[in-house]
Amino acid sequence: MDNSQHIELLSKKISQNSDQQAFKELYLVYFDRLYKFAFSILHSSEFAEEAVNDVFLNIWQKRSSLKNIESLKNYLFISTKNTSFNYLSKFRKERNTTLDDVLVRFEIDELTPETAFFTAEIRKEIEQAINQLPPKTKLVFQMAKVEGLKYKEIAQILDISVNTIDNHIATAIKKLCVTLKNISPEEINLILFQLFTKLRKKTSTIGQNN
Amino acid sequence: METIWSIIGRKLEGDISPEEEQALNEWINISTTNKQVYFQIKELWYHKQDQTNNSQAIAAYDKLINRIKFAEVAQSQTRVQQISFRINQFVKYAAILFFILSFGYLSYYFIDAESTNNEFCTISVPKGNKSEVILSDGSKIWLNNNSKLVYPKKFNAKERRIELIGEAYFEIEKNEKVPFIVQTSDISIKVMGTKFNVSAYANDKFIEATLISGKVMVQSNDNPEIETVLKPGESLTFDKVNNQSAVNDVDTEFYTYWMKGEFVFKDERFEILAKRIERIYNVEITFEDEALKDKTYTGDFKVDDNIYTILEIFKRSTKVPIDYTTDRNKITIRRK
Repeated sequence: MDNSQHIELLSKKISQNSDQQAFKELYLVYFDRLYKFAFSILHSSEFAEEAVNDVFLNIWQKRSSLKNIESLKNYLFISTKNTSFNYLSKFRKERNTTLDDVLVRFEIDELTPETAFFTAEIRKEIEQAINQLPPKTKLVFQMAKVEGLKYKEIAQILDISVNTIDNHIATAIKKLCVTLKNISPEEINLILFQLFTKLRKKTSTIGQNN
Repeated sequence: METIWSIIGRKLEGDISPEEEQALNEWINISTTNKQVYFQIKELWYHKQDQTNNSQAIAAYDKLINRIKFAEVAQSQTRVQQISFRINQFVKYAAILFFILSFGYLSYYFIDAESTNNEFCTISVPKGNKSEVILSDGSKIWLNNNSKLVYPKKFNAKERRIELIGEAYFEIEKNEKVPFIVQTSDISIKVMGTKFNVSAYANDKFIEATLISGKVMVQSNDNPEIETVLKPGESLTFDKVNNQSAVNDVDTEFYTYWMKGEFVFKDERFEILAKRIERIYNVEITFEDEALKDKTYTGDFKVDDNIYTILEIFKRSTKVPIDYTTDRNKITIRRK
């Protein structure tokens, strides 16, 4: 659950009562997204996990000053970014790592057969198309799509303007459109068929989801 | 410039104005291709890949909890050491003050003159710390972690003698008439004025003296008549078990990295490295497989690297795959 009131409550419990249960909940709410974010920068599951744990270790050790943090979500992403950059600097033996040094690799997760919407070939083509984009564009796309962050949040985390984010996303969407338009008609028909069966399924379960 | 691409982007993000929504609908209705492409992108976007792998998160959380406990134990130990150091200082000064007050002004003068020969200072550096000392003759000493230095407040006219347990780097002021002597458990190092490093930890098998510049004489405490003279770039290794010493040419740089907070080693045995890691990070390392102790490594770390980073790098860089488990500040290394 990622609603800000709930997160605020958890943060309060952690900072005032050293509540370990609340800490665990906060961890489990954000682990997946922070991990994927770190992974897109570090390309190593061990180090991505390590980076996220560095961030949470710091949160726990400085829990009494949590109340001074305006948005815990942004703080978590910014810390994960900084920690990941530090790891990169260490590996490359360079003093500083900036956004321009980051090599982001975009991958679509393997899906279970019944939810697979894109065939393996189309997935590969989409991945290839996205991976041709500049690293910054890929990272922004990844953050908006996979981590589900708002433009405003991405802007704060990466310290770039909302306008720039808008342009990065537009570049990525354009690339996707062009790629998808070039896919052969038979494949499109298959996709359409799957799309409609899926849409029908979705409409029937909407009541439960909301 | 408003493009359809950025409108689609904002639609997906969920922050779109009614006019943009209108423009999007118009674009979608231009052709079937547009419609298809739009739905595909939407599908791709909302496929958030968020089937959270809960077991991974929980396993990672357990590791985090281990680290938190680990950090808390390490912290409390350092604190205890620092507190006891402060108490020692306090007791010492309280004793001196008491002494002064009870004997009065005149006798204070008398005692002060006498005590120049036997008043000693002790500096203890806990694990995970470093310290720098300047002696009354202007000599500079850098003390590495878990080390102790005993020195007189004022040197006498015959010799400048200090005692060392642990590791230190020395830059000694030149004085041909008054030799500077570093006394360790088993050997003593006599110098006139020079730069050198001494490593003499109580639970190490070896004592090592490495000369950077100048000239030093090394003598065994049991047989002081046998002197070994070291030239710059030479390192003397004294084996405490069989009382043997050997002199080797070394790259002296490796002996001074610790002062810069770096941890550099070349073809060093894992057992020796583990000892150094123990001192830097205040941990205990045990080997499940004795043979692993003899594996050699080359590398460098920053001392402020997290210990887990270092363990992970060891885990990855070895020809013999290793793994480790941690329990508070105890680390066990095993063959994978």
